[in-house]
Amino acid sequence: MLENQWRSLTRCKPLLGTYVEITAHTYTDQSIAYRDLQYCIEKAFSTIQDLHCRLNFYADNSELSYFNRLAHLRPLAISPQLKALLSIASEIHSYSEGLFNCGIGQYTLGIEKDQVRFGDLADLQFLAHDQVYANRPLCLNLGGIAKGYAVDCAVDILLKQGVAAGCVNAGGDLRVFGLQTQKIHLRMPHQCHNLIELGELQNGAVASSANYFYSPTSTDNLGQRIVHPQLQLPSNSPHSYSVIAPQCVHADALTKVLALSQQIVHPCFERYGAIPFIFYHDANDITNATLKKIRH
Amino acid sequence: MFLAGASAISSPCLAHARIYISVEQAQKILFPGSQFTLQPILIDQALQASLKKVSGVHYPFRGEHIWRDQAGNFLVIDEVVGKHEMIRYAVGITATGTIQGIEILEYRESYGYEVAEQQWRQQFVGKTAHDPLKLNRDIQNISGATLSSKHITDGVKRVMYFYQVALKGAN
Repeated sequence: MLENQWRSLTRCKPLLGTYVEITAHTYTDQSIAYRDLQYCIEKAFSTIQDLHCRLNFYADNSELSYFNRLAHLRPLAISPQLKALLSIASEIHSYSEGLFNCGIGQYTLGIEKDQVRFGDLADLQFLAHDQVYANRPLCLNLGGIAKGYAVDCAVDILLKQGVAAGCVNAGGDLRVFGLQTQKIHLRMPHQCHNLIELGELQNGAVASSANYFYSPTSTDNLGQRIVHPQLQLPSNSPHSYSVIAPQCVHADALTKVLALSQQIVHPCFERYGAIPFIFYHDANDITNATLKKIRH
Repeated sequence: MFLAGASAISSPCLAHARIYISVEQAQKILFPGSQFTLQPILIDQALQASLKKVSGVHYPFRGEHIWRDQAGNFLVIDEVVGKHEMIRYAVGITATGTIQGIEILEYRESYGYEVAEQQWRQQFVGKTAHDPLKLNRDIQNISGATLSSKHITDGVKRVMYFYQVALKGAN
């Protein structure tokens, strides 16, 4: 049986504020021995750990915090990783006409919107020699895109090492790669512990946004809420928003565009080859109409 | 990119449980080549109280799963029991008291209220200790927010305080 020719290893670590799970598969007769999967996964985790340190909005000594403090004072030379992510974020910000916006970090810090006038991604100027400058003071929180970016970077590392197939899942933002198709399950928005089988995905990513674990009475920080950039108010939508795309960074960011626009026909999705779908909180299944959309 | 089988969407199933690696595998990953021996420690009430005070973790720390190698490195196995989950994890601590790494050993969602539900228990009827691995083969890739790892952060804080007051002197 074909299944018997595959061997796999899965590990999980607490990173990026959630649990990151990496699965690597190999053929038993391939050049990569089973024991080498361990090494490959370790390298992928190291990459995510590095990004975790660089992009942490809540750590004063992260590269992102350094950038937020100084970018409006002078052009800053930043790492290729941060530059790449800012570049992707700016592009999606532009194509989504501001719906995707990382420039609302002040909201999560409890700073009143009239207290300081912060800029956003539209204020970034990408200069030569990896330098970036901001026209206004910044409070960028890349939490809405960093997990997806970290997933892509980890997948790149695994592919470079010659891993045949696998999956990287960072808190529900995941990408599968390689020859194997893999079953994807989705949390039901009204019962977060219940899962529904979405189908089998090959060489693609899926990300979802919803107020799954949010509880207004709980002191636990279990909810990840989307904040509307123009209204600066958190979304109270009871639905779940998912996007399938070739790259996880795009899937991750576009869930915010979907949640805020509520439109599965937004031009942003086509540009990135993405397929959006909404799981309504009062539905027990994904509607047939949505299924057709997925299949195209 | 390819998505197939969407028409096969079935009725919902309860969220998952997964075993990642064993204690022995965690030892090999965090301290390759080391030989560990079990070194359980009895936690008295005073120590239990100070552990709770320092970390904010309210459930008791169990001292029976502590491993030590000849070089003085430790592997401490601890559990996070949250509202939504039970997570068993390992903290590798070097002989100099720094964290070598953290590995999740086992992740079990819906540990709290749903564990008592018939439907949840039914999943484990007739299973042996090795069977949960089989259970997980069908549910591997879940999209949608997983839990915050904040509880692990608190747990590691407690483990490191425990190291300072109870294990460091053993070296």
